[in-house]
Amino acid sequence: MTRHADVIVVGAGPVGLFLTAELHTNGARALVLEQLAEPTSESRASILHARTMEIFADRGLLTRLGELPAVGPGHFGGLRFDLAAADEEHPYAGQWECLQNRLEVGLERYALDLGAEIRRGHTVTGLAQTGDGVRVEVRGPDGPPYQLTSAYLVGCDGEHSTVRRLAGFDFAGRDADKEMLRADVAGIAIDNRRLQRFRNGIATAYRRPDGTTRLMVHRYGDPPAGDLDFGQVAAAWAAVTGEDVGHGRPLWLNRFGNAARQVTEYQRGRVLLAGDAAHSQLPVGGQALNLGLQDAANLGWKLAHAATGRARPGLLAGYHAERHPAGARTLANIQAQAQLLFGGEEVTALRAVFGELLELGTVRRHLASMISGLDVQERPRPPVSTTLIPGRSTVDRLTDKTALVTGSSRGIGRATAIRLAREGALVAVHYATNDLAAGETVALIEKEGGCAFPVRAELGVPGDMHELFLGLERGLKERTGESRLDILVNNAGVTTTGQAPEDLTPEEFDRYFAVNAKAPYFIVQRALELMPEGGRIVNISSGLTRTANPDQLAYSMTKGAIEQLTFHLARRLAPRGITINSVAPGITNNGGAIFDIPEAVEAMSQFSAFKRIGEAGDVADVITFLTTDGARWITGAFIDATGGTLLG
Amino acid sequence: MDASVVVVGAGPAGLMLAGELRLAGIDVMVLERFPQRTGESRGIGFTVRTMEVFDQRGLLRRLGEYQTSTMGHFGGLPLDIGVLGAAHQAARTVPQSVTEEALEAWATELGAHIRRGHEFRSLDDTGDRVTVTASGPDGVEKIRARYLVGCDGGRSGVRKAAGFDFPGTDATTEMLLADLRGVDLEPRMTGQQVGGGFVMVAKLAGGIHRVIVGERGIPPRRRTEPPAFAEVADLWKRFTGIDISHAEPVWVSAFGDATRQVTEYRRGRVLLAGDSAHVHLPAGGQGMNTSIQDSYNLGWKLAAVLRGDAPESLLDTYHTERHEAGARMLANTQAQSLLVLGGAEVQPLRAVLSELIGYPEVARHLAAKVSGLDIRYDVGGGTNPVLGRRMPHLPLTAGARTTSSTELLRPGRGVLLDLAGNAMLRRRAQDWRDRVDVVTGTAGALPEHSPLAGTTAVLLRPDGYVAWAAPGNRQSLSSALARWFGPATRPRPRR
Repeated sequence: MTRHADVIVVGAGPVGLFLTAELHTNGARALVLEQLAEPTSESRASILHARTMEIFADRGLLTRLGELPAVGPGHFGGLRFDLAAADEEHPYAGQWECLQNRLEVGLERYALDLGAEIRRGHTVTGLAQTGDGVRVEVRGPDGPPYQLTSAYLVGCDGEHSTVRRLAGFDFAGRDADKEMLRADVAGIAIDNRRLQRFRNGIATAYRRPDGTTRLMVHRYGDPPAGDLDFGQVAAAWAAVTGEDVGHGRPLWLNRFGNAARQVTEYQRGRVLLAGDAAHSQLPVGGQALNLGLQDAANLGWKLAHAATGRARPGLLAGYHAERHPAGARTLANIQAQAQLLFGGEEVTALRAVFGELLELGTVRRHLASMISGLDVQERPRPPVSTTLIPGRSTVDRLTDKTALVTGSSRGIGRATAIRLAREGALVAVHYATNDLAAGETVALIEKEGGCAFPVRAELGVPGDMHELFLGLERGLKERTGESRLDILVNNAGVTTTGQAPEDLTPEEFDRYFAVNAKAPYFIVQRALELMPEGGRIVNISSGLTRTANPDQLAYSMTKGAIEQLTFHLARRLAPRGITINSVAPGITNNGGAIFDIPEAVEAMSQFSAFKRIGEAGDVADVITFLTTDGARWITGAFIDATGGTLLG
Repeated sequence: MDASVVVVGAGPAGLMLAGELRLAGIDVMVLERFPQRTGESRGIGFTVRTMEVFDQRGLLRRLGEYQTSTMGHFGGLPLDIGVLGAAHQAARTVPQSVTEEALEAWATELGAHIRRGHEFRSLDDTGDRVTVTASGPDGVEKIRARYLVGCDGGRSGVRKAAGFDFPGTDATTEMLLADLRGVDLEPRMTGQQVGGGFVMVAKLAGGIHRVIVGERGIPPRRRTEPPAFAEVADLWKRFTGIDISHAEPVWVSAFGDATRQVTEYRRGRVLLAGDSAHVHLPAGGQGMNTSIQDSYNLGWKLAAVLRGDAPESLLDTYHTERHEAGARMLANTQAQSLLVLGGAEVQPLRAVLSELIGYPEVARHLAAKVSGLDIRYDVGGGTNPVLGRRMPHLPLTAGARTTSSTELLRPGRGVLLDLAGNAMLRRRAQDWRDRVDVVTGTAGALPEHSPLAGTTAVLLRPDGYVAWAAPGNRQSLSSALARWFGPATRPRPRR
């Protein structure tokens, strides 16, 4: 059967969009069907919790969403406390506000950038599971109904999920017996208050800058209303607060209840559910959205592997096994909160006990971790495959950064250039003479959707710095409008396989030093003029500064020099927030002829503790890490990337 | 004057008060309407604080055999009260009849006049004295006293006669209780939720089983006499499937979760202590324990005022201290009663709470609450952590003698405990020697996290609360002594 996609995602809300992006990041193609023709324009604020922020940061999504304001303390069933208590050290402890439409637009763009297809105005009307896939009936905005097939289908279509109904999931739980009435009202003046308790109920009011007031009210003991009209809201408001809002003009009415339902299984055959489609609960403190996004993060990579035939047995089953209990726990915790929130006088004393307990650090930590999603144990997602998947992305740790990698037409330099680009950096691919090889590096990067340009400059000859920086700055300006350079990797160097010390000529000595020591020195000198705060310099040294090999004496001396460059400059650069480090590779396959001789490779393998020769990627990954923000606390360091060769 | 104090009711609160007054040398008459002790088991446990109180009066040996345990609960959720690190454990399986017998023997030995078969009728508070009308085997009599204390239970006649305001909430659920002989049931000490209700089983001394059963949402019916055992057995059968109808009932009773407290503990010359001042669901036996501690708080104060040592305003602290303690106890029993009696809708809250109870910090907080150790009276500002708190049991060496803070409190007087050999401190207390014992002692190794670490001196009230401590006190020792024991006197001959 020809498939239209590996996975069909139904619903283009935050959960569906994020799941789609995760599928693409992990090498599967997704097609999104959304019944609404337009993204939601509602300006409601969503609250993102620490675990969600962590996931977004890991995917580089926070840069896309822009600055998210921290919002004040959260609450447990209306008892205020700061969610940052979950883990004061956590970079995203607390809660963060993101406008719903900004979140959806950001996630949609992210998914589209990764190559996903999103069809708006397309409604799923039927669904059938075949032995090896799923077939759906779709009705689009125009044209006749059509069918689509895929390996898997995920319903991210919310509380009233069509997919859930069509696929026969059991949505067990209970209906609401209490509800909070909400209204946006113009023309009233009511004091702001947050979940204030009165004798007969609970009321919230806040006045927006535009002069409208959001009211929320629950009268203790009131069952859910049938049809909601403003008269009911005004009556409840008056009964609870004694204030009259009946003269106001209602702009929007809504209510939410304490229903608690969860599907008994998150997967039925090839159909899965995520987000509100799988669980519905009182929307307190944004827990529903965060739970849904965390469902997507858990499911994405597993499903991508399963849908492309790369999953180990049982991998996908882990989704239900992990997320059903996590959902059940959140639901229970929300019900506990609902009890405290909606309960009348009979709950006052127990609420007071919880209030006292919230004075205790351990309690704040426990409940904040629970609400923030930081107490969920799940199997870690494997690192995104290093195999290149054209058109698929990256983890974006270096978005908007620029990098110069010297000697990146091949070997470690090329592998580094590719990785930096994959992380989102614009890379200047420097080379000395081999136009073809440099072009290949650039092509590989562009093929992945990355951005790079070649810069030719032979090092160790008069005018080398001028040539290098002319090409570099021109290339940067053309692409970014400025010549800012965030990352410098001094990788270019010359070496030979071996030469007795007594045979070395002064000319050869000078050449080693000119290319391997002097050029890096002056490249750093010039680069620092272009480098902003937070810049990164990585100098490639060699394991030979730590293990004796007289046949490579002069080469090793140059590497000793570059380590000194690192060491002494580190102190100078720290005030600017720039780190500088040395990375020392051992025997690394640079594509040289010797690496084609099996016996030689076998012999060389014995040096590493891992009993294999290093691949360029092994070293490039270490270099890449040093260029990220995650390595901000390392500077002046000698980083051993020899695969344990120096262990002796 | 027929007595300095008339106490109505010879339950634990009344007997404790009588003993305390006698210990302080005050004459007291106790009126009890029942001709004999009932023999009912009723309250069966003592909290850590009550055990400390009893030890501070040397009463533990009078209780006979009893079991102690560190296993407690909060609203049915198991709770280790051992985390409090107190020297005493809670006691269970002491039937109230044993407690009353012990307290009565103690009070009587001290000279209390206990008159059974005398029922309170009315009172007349004339400002300088109160006249009590009571009926007894020999007819109606009038008894004149300086003060009257109503320790006559939840339906207190004294409370009604003196016009105390007793606001609160009515019961929503009725629980039936039966103490049984001739059954062997699996203990369910902290109770158990069953479909539609709640059941509990405790083993008491003497092979007696106590069963408690309640049906959710069924409010108490108006009863003129205790429920028939058949009613208990039927409900038990329905909820547990177990037939207990063949058992021999020793005592059958019904109680509810009504929660009420008087707004003032004293009106003129009439005071209330125990259940007459507060009713609530008897969760974890906190009712009787609170009652005993009401009397423990009141006795020495009433005695100081009657002796003329302290001004009448000292009695106001009885209201402020015990009203707050009672309100806290009521709040915690209400919280517990929601956990115990609430149905499935409360399950999520129970689940969250039982996770939290796993933290020692939380267990300590709740254990202190149900053990009566969370009380901190307002004794004036300061930073010393023991200020206003009960003095923990502290073993001491005083000269060649081995003693303890508990033992030093046995005479029922104030104690200034000088832990640092400070002659100036002792000299300052010189003028209160007739009311306060001054002891220089050395404490052994303190337990970890002891609040007493670094404390060099404490002034203990007769009820074992720390009225002053050094360092970290905002007021002088002299003003603390004056506040709790009355103005300084030049040494005068002992009466």
